[in-house]
Parts: sequence; C-alpha cells; structure tokens
Amino acid sequence: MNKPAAYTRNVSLLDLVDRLIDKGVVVHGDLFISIAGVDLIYIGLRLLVCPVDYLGRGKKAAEE
Amino acid sequence: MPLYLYAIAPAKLPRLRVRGFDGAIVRRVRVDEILAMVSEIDAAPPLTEESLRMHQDVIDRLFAVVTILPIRFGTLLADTSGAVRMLRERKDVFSRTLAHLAGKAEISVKAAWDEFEPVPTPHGAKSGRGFLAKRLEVLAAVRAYQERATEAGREIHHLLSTKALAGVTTVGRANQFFNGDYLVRAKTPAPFLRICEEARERWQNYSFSVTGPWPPAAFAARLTRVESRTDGQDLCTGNFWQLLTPKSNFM
Repeated sequence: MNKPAAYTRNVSLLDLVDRLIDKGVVVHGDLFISIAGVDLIYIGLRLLVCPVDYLGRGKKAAEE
Repeated sequence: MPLYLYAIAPAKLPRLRVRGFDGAIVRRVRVDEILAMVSEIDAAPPLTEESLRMHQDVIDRLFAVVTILPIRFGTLLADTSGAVRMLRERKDVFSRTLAHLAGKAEISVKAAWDEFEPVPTPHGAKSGRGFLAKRLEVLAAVRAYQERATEAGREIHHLLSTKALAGVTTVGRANQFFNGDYLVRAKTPAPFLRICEEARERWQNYSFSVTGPWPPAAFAARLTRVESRTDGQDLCTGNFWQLLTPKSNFM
C-alpha cells in the first residue's frame, strides 16, 4: 500500500489550536485558560471573552 | 487541589505511567465504568504551544491504548469530589459516546486557497463613479471566487464522505474554505486516505492538509454536547445519531 504523502502527524501549532481549542468535550462551566498569569474564562464555543477579574468588576459595578 | 482534566476513558484502560502538567502523574477518577483522566495542578496552564503539546501528548498516549473522549484544553475540576460529581452527571452520555466511537479515529482534512486569484483592482479610474464601478467589479470577482470555493467544499465533502463512517465540517481559519473531520476505523484508514489523494489530484488549484489519526475530538464534542443539551436546541443538522452516517452535516 502506498502511504499518501499528506498523511502526517507533524503537527503545526494551527492544528493544535484547531484540535484542542475548537474541539474536544466541553464540561460546561469549568473551562479556564490563562495567559501571562491572568486567568481568562472560556465560555462554550466562543473563544476568550474577557479576564475573570474584569467579570468580577462588572458584577461589582452592577451591584452598586 | 484542582485537577486538570485530559480525557474520559473506559474503565478497561490499563494502568499507564503518564505524566501531565508540572510532571504530575495522570491518574484516574472512576465512577462505574467511566474514568476521568486527571492530574493535580495549581492553576490553569497558560495558553502556549508548550501547554497545547503537553495536553495533546497525554491524550495521544491514552488513545494509543484505547478509545478516549478528549477534553477541550484548559478544563479544570475543583478536586476529586468535583470530578466524581461531573462523572455521575454525565456517565450515561460518556458511556454511550465511548461505545459509538470505540475503535474509531478522526482524520482532519483542510483545503485552502493560496491566495485570491488575480482580480481587477480599482486603479486608473478617472472619476468617483468610475472608481465605484471598478470596485463593484472587484467585489463581484471576489464573490464569484468564494462561491466557487464553497461549491468545491461541498463536492470535496461528498467525495470524502464516501469512504468515511461520518463527516462533519466547520468554518475554516484564514484562507481555509474547507475544514472537515472524518470518522474512520482506526485500524483501516487507508481507503479514506486514498480518497483524500483523489481529492488533492482533482482540485489541484487548492492546497490540502490531511492529518491524523486523531482521538475523535470533533465527534466526541458534538455527540456529548447535543445529548447534554436540555433546551431542545440541536446544534447539529438533523438527528443526533445521523452524525454517524456520511453526508449528513455540511455547513
């Protein structure tokens, strides 16, 4: 059998993002990603909404 | 202590010595016949290439032994009791999905245009009206190109689906006009790979990328997500289990 040349596991960063951020089982409400030490919340299928502490500030402002 | 969740696995998974983030041992949390594969972690890992490769490496090691359901990157559980609670709530969905995906793998196929075909640019117009007219020509040419690529995407999907157990497509990134995942038998991917080569030869003006076999992340996500929903909204076209038949879900 000839193995197609395109069949590869030399995985690019784009492939990893596609596989691990766009796909995979979502356990709702427990998904966190941090960048440069700042926890960022990741909701459903939408990538990166805003920092957690920003959400906290928004909640505080709403209460005031 | 928080736990980082890599995958859901069947209880028959043999004992493996795999290390995850920060060198922590990947261990199992069991509820009935379902395992959550986790490791202890202080905080969410940063979104870096190194972290992504670490996550992928762990699920690849597990997938080399048995079919698993890969979890999306960045998922943390509060502690072991949180993991148990999560498994209790979802064990039936996980169990059914594992059964349906047993022995299967995904192959990812992407097609992209290298760049737009040369289109007229609105240079040389001598008046505002002339500029706008040429601008409309440009937009029409771009639209026609996009329509041709979209049609090619449909045809590619139908061709690939003839040799897959199931196929799903999603929106591609950047210049990708086609981004599909196809479910194949893990031990016999050759017929599908040959049809990929046929597609590549047929649409030579586009560049193709074929990678895999991967743990079935796209199908695991869809099957568990659809069944978990309680608001009656089906995120996939058609019936839930139609995902497991070819030609079912071109978007």
